[in-house]
Amino acid sequence: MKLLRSSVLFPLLLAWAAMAEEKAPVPAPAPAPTAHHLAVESEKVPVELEWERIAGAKFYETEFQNYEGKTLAVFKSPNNVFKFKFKVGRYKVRSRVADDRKVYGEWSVLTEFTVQPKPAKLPEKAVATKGVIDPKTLTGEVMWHWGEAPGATQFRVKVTDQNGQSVCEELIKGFAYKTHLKAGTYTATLTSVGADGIESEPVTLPGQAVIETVQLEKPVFAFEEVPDVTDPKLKTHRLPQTKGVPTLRWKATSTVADTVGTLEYRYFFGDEWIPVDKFTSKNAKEVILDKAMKPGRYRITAWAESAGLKKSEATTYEFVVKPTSY
Amino acid sequence: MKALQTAIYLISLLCVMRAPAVEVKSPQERENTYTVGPHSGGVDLSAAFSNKSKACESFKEFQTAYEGLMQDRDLALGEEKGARLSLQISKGCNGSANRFFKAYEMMKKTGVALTKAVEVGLDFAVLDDERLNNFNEVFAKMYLESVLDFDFATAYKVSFQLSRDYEGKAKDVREDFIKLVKFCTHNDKAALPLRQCAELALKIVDHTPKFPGGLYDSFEKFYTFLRADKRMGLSVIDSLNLVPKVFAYGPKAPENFQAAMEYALGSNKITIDHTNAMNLALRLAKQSLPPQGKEDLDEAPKK
Repeated sequence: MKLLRSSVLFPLLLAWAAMAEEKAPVPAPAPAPTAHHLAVESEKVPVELEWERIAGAKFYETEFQNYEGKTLAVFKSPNNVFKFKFKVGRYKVRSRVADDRKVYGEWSVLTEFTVQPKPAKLPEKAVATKGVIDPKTLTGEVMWHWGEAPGATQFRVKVTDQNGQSVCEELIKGFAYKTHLKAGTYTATLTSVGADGIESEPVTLPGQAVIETVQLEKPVFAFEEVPDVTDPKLKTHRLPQTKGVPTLRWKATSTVADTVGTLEYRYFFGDEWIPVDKFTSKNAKEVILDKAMKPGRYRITAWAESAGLKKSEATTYEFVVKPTSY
Repeated sequence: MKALQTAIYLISLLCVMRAPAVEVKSPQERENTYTVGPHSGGVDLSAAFSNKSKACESFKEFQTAYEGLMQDRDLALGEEKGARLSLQISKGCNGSANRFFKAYEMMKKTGVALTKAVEVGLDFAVLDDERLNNFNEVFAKMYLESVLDFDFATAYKVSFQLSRDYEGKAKDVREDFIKLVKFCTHNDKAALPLRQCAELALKIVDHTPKFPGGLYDSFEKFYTFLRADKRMGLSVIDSLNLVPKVFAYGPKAPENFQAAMEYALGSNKITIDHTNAMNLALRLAKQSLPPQGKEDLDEAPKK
């Protein structure tokens, strides 16, 4: 008996049977939260417990105790592997073996043992996103989803970017996680969380969320209509004036982007455009081109730009400033 | 004999020296468009040398040009380049420096590249004051937003057409053009769109050299006849388009045209419809010019 008792080894392998099952997950293209349910704390989860094989042992017993020393359950097995269901929690376990006469040896020493919730069942593709950001918010919506997990009362989702930096982490009581992320490539890991905050090993949700930036729309200048000098019946347009100074206004002001641009000057018969000024709208609705006072030809080139977005194509406009007298 | 050779040499030298960069007639040649006399087209050297007031104050022009150029911070010419340019300017004889700066400053103020502004200044330095006035006045009127507000290219082109490149008396064409544009854009008169008006005015002033003192008075009279006489039945545009066709044949042509129309439509002496009356009037307008050799006459007017 001593030999047997002394031969009783500590658990060598505490493995989740479900892990093997997850190798061939069932495709689940869209989350169906109503089909899943979260575990209640009393729910039992499959446990597989393996002790080291003892030579000559014909019967094995494993006893579960709580931390107060109260025996909660005793499981029997003809071999060193135990398969049963038990509640998620932290326990103390011990084992003993018997020979073919069913004469048991002494119990082994108590060992701490944790029954973890199982990882969630994972769909083939767990992430859904439009793949581009919304120019107004500079973020794109991403949604991850997963299946139920025995023993899990909630899930911890951790999102990391392409550099491995954690960008968000949340506890979710459900089977989907929706968030808004900046342009980038993201992966998410999922941990089942059961009673007493006991967590499963993290699993990586299949698929990457790739969110690309978008190109801003090019700015549209606002013009004022004036009668065409060559034919009063016709209308022509020109830049609005502020006390005689050409003024740049936009038809639609962007909340996320600045309109940035250059003002260039060119002499009549001149060969090149000469930079005169740079401007940026910031929050302003107009830019008074006070550097466009010298008579001659001018060209405005303006585009929208914003951090995290591709700058827009440029809008150009040429105009002439005439002297007021000779 | 030797004196004659010297005179020929001096004449040819003078001609070479006074030849402007642009191949144009001399101011005197152009201004004498209407003069038919024994001395036209030639230069009387003795008269030129004896008349001190007409001789060129070349040093004064050079000095004025040089000092003006040295003060121009935009050009920033060194002394050598300044002197070279001043020498070119002073070739235009009396008033050349003043003409240079007036044309140059105007172009500079417009925003023309300095090299081009200098080029324009040089063009007018070697021409006369009237031509410069044409250029400056026509350009200012056509280009300024407060007047005709044409684009630069059109204003520039037309201004040269009516000044440097104009073959005739500069003052006449300037006044004709300005008056015609005023007339055809005026609400009480033709009220044409500006561009159309300017184009028509340019077609009409093509014939100004044929009208001593300008053609505006003849134009106004002729246009009034075309529009006021109901028998003509011509619109504003038709009337204005008819003007250059008639005026092409000189100052007597409108008078002949009008007389022919009145005779054809208003008298009982000839029975003719409106189309044939017009043909007859145009034909007689064409015959207003003295015959210049054998001309292939059109077929007889249709009855």
